[in-house]
Amino acid sequence: MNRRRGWAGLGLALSVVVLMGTPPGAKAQSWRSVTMSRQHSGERALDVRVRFGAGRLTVKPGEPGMLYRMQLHYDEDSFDPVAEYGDGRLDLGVEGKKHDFRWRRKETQEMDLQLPLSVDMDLDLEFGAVEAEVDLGGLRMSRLELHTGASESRVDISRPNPLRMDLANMEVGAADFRVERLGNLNAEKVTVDAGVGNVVLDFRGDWQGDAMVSVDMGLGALELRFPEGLGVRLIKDTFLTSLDSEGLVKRGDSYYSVDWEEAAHRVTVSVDAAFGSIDVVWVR
Amino acid sequence: MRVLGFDLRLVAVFAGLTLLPGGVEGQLRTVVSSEIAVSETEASLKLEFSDREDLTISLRNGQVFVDQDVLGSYSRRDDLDLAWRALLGEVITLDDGPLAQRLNDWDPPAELSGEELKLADDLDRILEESLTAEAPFQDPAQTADESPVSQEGLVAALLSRTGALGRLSEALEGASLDNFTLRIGEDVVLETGEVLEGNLILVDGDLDLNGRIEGDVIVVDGRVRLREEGVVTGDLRISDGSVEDDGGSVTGQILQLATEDPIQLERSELEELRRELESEIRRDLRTTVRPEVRGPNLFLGLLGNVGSAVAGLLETLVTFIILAILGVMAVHFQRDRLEIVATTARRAPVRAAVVGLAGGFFLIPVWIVGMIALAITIIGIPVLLAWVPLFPIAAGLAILFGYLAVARNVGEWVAEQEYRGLEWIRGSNTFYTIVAGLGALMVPAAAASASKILGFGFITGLLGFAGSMITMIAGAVGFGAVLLTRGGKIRPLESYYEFDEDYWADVPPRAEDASQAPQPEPEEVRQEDSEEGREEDNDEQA
Repeated sequence: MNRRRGWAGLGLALSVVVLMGTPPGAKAQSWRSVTMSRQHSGERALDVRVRFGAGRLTVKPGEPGMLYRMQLHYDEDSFDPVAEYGDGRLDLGVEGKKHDFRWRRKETQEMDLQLPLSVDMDLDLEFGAVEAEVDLGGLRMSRLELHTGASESRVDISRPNPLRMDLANMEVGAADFRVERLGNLNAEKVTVDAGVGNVVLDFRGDWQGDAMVSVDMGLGALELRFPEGLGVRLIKDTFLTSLDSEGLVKRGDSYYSVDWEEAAHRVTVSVDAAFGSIDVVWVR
Repeated sequence: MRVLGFDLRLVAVFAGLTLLPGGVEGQLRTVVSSEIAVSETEASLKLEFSDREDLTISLRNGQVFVDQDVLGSYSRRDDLDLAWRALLGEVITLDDGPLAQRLNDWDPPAELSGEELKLADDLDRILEESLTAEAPFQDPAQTADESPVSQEGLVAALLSRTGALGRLSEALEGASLDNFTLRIGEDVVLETGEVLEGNLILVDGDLDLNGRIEGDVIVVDGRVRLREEGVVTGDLRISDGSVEDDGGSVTGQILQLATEDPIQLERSELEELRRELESEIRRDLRTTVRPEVRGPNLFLGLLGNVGSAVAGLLETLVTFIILAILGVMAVHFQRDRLEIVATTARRAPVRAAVVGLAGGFFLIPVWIVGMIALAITIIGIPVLLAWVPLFPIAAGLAILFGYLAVARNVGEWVAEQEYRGLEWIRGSNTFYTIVAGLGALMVPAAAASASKILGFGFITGLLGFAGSMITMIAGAVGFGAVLLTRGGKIRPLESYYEFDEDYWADVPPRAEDASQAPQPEPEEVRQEDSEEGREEDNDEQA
């Protein structure tokens, strides 16, 4: 208990020091820290759009009763914060100022976002050159759109999505992209369009039904991590791409897991790839 | 029972609004939205209240603003600035009630004096006035007479939901109304450790329950989320709503009143247990029956890797043999053209690669445009029948021919290295060099297959990627060289790079060229001629 208090005290002290500003000798910067939050007030469904250009991004589920909470640290000369709410829409993030883009690399732009647990969401995440940690666990998502540029992104669906989702669409540029516990997404169809980079798709999670996963890769390595017990069918249409199909049996044009017939839930993965490798890994 | 057309149970609810405790909220206004911004020149607080009013206090560029009005001035890092920033630092992690409470409790620090103290007192007063401007719900300890506004508001809210009244009446059937809490048009959240004594009636709102409710829960037009530590000691009655069980418990029954169908938690638990057992049995069977697939046995895993590696190597070997046969055929039937293409690729690999990539990029558009052009002319339609299949075949052959020419160059390079065991590769023999070159180009792919034995996916992927890149580069360079030389017919670099005759010295003249070639002349004469020839070529090029 004392230890926890100690950490809390240290955290509070650091927050105060940061908020008190930089030491007098330091050169003035145009960095601004903003914390915005809004309470849940009976909203049932929202279109949520999150935009973040560059820096470090964290997205996670918020506390009960909260609609959103966003902490930003950004260069106010070049960017404006966005927190627009109304008409069933919620726009969050930062946007660049027109004709005044002066990107400074001295400090890293940061965004820490918490999203509501009790609202049905069409969630649209778009970020550019970012280092992203996204936890969508427990969020009520009826649709997911995720677009990243040159990023290093990890998306974890740590808890099941209570809603059945028609489509989760992920477009990845030149990136290291990792999605964990895809089963918790509760999606009928998942599409991953990756340009260049390494993509890891982890299919663990609480599968509620069958799913179709489509992966389109340009250049890079794709790792498919399947949990034991999940029925897997892999269809590949590749050019100069190696396949390590461990644990899959080829029948006709497709590769099947050995328990495909009796599996409670089945996932069909269609891979269209040029130049690179596909690795299949089974996890307990 | 109905009296004057009004259900007695609802009468009891309306009566309860004035006689029984109605809520547990404090006296501060509800803060629905907050924004705290801090920079070198600014420290701002913006609050939005439930009635859509808002308050902005900002210390910015030396001036103190309340909404848009200037209240006074300050200096950066003076005591007022530091005190205000310290307050924002404290509340930055708070929301709603705790946020309002802390802001309301704030007092200017004792070290302030003079104008700074006056401004701080003003800010303190403005905060308190704004945060206590409205008290939507009264303290439970207060009497009915002290809280007429909130109770009237609840009655009005309930009456405004005429559609819900009928369902509420239905949901209240048989429920005790001795002690209840009524919520209309709002969500109720009970956190871990929180206890609500008595029944909860919730109309047009959601319940997020991780605490304990000592009584029945009646929900009309709302959603109930029973979290892991959520407990309802009585019944859970839902009318026109839904329940989401995340591990909570209901001592009584869960009644979905719209269908009069009791939802038995036990049934869902049994179903889940059945699924788990099935999964467990299936997993055991799989491990027993098919250990070669799932078994953790190291030997079997290694065996699987070896099998995968051998299959990969065989695939590479078959590809190599097919290409080697095609290479030998190309040398046998089109040696001259192959030499010209190979020399072009060796002397100008970058140019050839660029041309090859561009050519590859335009292949499909040219094919399509060609089809369209032929289709719209009557005379072109017969040609179209040949164009459609032959163009892709010709393009594929051109890429293959170029790849073989590059392989010939690689083989020549391998011969020059005089590796031990590869002395048999003679650079002067094109058959040997093309086969050796194909082998060298395929080394990464073979290595990738062989590396599967070790089970290092990363190395395999890396080698596979290298093999793919090498193949792509060789294909692009070769295809570019084929395009530059018009399939080995011309020697484009003679004029372009202005090389001397030695440039093509290692390329034997084609048969028709040889028959027309002049007889050897004395050295000085031949030099003059070659100069003239280059000038002519340059003119042609221009």
